[in-house]
Amino acid sequence: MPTPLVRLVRFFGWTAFLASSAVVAGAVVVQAAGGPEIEQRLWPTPRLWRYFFATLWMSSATVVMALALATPVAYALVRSPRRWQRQALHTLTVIPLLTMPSVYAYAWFILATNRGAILQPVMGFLGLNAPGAGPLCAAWVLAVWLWPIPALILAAAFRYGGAGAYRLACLDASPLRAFLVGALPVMRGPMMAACAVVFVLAAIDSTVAPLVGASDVWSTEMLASANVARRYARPAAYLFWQSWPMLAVTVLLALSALPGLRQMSKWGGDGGLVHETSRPTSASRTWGISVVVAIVLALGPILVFAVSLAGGRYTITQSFAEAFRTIRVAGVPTLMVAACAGLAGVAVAVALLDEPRWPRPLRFASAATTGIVVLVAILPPPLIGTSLASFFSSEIIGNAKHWNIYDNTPVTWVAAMLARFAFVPVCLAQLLNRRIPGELADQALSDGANRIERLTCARLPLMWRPLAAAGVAVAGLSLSEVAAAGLVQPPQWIGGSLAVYIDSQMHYGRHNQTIALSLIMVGGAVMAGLVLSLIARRR
Amino acid sequence: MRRTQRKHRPVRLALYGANAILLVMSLLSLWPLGCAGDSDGGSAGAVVVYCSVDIGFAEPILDDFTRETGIRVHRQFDTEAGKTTGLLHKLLAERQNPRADVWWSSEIFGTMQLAADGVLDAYRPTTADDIPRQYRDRADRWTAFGLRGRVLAYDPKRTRAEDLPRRWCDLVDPKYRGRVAMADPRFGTTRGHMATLLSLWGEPAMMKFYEGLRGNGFHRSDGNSHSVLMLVRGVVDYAATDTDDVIVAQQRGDSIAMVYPDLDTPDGKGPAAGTLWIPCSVALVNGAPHGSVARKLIDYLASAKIEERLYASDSRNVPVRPGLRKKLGASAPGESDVDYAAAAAMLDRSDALVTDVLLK
Repeated sequence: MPTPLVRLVRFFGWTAFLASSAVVAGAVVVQAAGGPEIEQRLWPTPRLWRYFFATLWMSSATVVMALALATPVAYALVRSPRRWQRQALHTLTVIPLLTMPSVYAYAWFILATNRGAILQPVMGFLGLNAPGAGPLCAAWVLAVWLWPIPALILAAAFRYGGAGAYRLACLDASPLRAFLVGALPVMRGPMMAACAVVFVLAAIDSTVAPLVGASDVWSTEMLASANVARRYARPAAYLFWQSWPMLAVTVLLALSALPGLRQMSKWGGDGGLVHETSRPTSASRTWGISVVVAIVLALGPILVFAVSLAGGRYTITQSFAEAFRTIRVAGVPTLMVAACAGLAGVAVAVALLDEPRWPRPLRFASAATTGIVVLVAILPPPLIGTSLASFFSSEIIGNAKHWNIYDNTPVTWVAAMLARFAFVPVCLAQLLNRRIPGELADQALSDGANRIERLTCARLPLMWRPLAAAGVAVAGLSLSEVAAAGLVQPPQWIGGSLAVYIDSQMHYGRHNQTIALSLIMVGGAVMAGLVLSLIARRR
Repeated sequence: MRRTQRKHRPVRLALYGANAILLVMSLLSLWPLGCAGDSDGGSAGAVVVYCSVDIGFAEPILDDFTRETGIRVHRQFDTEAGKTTGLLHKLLAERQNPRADVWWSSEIFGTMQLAADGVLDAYRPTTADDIPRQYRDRADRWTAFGLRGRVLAYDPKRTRAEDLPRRWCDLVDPKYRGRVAMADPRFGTTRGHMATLLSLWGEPAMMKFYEGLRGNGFHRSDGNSHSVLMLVRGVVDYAATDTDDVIVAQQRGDSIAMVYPDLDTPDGKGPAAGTLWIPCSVALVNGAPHGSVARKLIDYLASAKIEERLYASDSRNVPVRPGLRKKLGASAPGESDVDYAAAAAMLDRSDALVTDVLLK
C-alpha cells in the first residue's frame, strides 16, 4: 500500500473519529456537566432503581446462560481434530453475532404467541408466561445472540493459554474433566473479559427486551426516555443523569475486562497440538453435538420463520415480493451507510495505530483515543443517537434551510454506526499491533523509513486481512443496528434504516411480510458469516 | 508456492469482493450529496412528513400520493416505544427551525398541544368541508378524521362475559389484580386517554385510580400492540388498547375480542361519558420548508378517499364524515362527546401524575 494512501486513510480515520466517538463523548460531557435537567433529580427515583436491579438480574442471567451455551462449543472448537470441522464450527459461531438481535427476539415472540398445544403448556410449566418472566425471557434471547463471544474467547484462551494446563491435567483425568479443572482456571482473565463484554452488551441492548415484553428494564426505559429527552435543551444530559448508576456499572465492568484483554494481547504463536486427541471418536462425537447445538442456536430462527411463513394470511410469494419491495426502498440506503461505516471503521483503526518508537505524546494520543472509542461503544445506543442528533442538528451545523449535513446526508447515521462499532477494528488493530515483532520496524528504521513508512512497510501488511474482516463485521453490525439508527435517520436523504423498519414491524406481532424480511436478514447474516470465515482463514 | 496461491484464490476473491462492494456502496452514498441541493427532489417537489400513524397503514397511502402527484414524500416514523410523543417533542424542539412540513398523527391530543404551542400553521384542507366542526380546529391549525376507539381486549376463551369491566375505573377492583396490561401512559393514545380521564374525573380521583392500578399490579407494556400480544400469550387477561390492534390480532387468527369501557367517574355521580374514540389528525407545520407541496399532501390525507381507505384497512378507522359513515355502514359504539381540548390542556399534568404516582 503506498504511503500517501496510508496518510490519506489516516486523515480520513481521524476525521471519522472526530465526527463520531469524539462528538458523542464531547456532547455527553459538555451537556452532563451542567447537571440534571429541569424536573430531573440527581438521585434516581424508586422506579428507576427497580429497572436498574431488573437489568442487573437480566444481564447476569444472560452471562450465565451464554457461558453455558458457549462452553461445549468452545470445547469442540479447540478439540476438533480436523481443520474443516473447526472452520465449520467457527462459521456457525460467527453467524449469531452478525444477525440482528431483534430477529432472535421475533423468533421467540412467534414461539411465545404460538397457539400450539405443546409449546404453550411447556412455556407455562417453565414459568415463562408469568407476568414477571420478561427479564428471564430477554436473558435467554440475549444469550442465544451473545453466546459466540464467550465461545470464541474461551476457545482462543484455551489455544493460547490453557493448553499446557490441559495437557498436564490429561495425564490423570478425562478430557472433559481436564478442560474444566485444568484449563478453565488458567483462562480466568479472558473469561472475565468475555463475561464483562456479554454483561455490558446485554445491559445496553435496547431491542430485545421491549420485543419480548421486558418493559421494566433500563434499556427499554432508555429508549422511551430518548423520545422524551427531545423536549429538553440538553437531551444527552437528561439521558445521562437518568442512567448514571447503570453507566457506572458498565464502565466498571469494562475496566474489569482490561486485565483479560491485556492477557489476550500477549497471545501469539500456534497452539496446534491442542487439536490432537488420543480419542478421535470422542472428539468427533463432541464436535457433532456442538455443531448441532450451534446450528440450532444460529439457524433456529430460520426454522421458526419457515414454519410460520407457511400458514399466514399472505402466500409465501406475496410475502417475499413485499419484503423485496421494502428492501429496495430501505435496503439500499442501509447498505450504503453500512458500507461507509465499515470503511470508516477500518480507517479509524489505521489512524490510531502507533509503534513503540514514536514520540510519547503521539502514543499517548493514540491510547487515549482508543480509550474514547471503547468507552463510547459501551454507552447505551439511545444516548449515542441523542448526542449525535443534538450536535449535528445544532444551529451551527444542521440549521441551513436548503441543504445541511443533518437533513440531507447520512453523515449522522454513519457517525452513529461508527460510534457504536468502530471499537471492533480499533481493538483488533491494537491487539495485532502489539504482537508484531519490533525487529521489522527496526529494520525499516535502519533503511531510513519515516514513521508512516514504518507503519506502511512493517505493520499494515501483517494486519490488513483481519482489518478487512473487521470492516465487514462493522458493516454487518451496522446493517442490523436499531436503537441509535432510529434516532439519527436523516429526514431528507434517500431513505431510512431497514433494521429500524423491520424492528418497528416486529412489534405488531406475527405477520408474513415481517417474517419474510426477518428470513432475508438471517440469510444476509449467514452470507456475511461465510465471507468473514473465508477472509479469516489462516494460511 | 503456486499451489498455495491457487489454494487461497477463493479467499482473495472473497476479500477483494467484500472490499469492492464496501467501496462502491460508499461512493454511491456520496451521490446524493452532489445533488442534495435539489432538496425538492425534482420538478414536482418533495415534502417532509412526521408520521405517528402505524407505518403499515401510512406507507401505502404516502406511496400512492407520490404515484398520483409525483411529489416525493420524505417520512419520519416513530417507534412503538416512543409513539407520537417522540415526534411531538421533536417538532417542539425544532420550532425555531422546522424540518417537517406535515404532521400526521395517530391521535389528536398531542396535535392540539402543538397548536397551542405555536408549532402548527393555519391551513384548511380543500377536501375537508364535509368534516364535522368538532373535528376541525377553529383556527384551522389541524383537521381530524378516522376514529379509533379505546377498548379493553380479552380472550373470549379464557374470560367470561360477566367478568368484563364495564368502566375504566373498574380496573382497580382487586379481582383484576395482575391481570391488566396497558401501554406506557406517557406515549401514544394511552397518553391522551389518561389525560381525558383526568379532565373528566379531576386530580384526586385520578390519583386514587393510579394508586389502585399500581397496587393491583398492572403491567406496563411497550405499546398498545404489545399489550395485545401479552394477552395473546396468556401473560394477562385484559389489555387496554386501540380498536385497530384488536382487529389486526383477529385477522391474524388470535382468540381475542373487545369491550368498550365507559369513561364514567369512579363515584358514578358524573354524566355517563361513553367510550373514548380518538381521531387521527393532520396539520401544516408553522414555517414548513416546503409549504405549497405540504398543502397538497394535507388535502390528500384529509380527503374522504383516504378516510374510506383507512376504514377498509385492518386499522378500521371509523369515518368522522356522517355521509361516509352511512355509506360504509360504520359505527363507533358508545361514542362519547369528550372535550378533546380540555383533555389536551391536561397532558402535561397527566404526564407528571403518571410519572409521580402510577410509575413511581
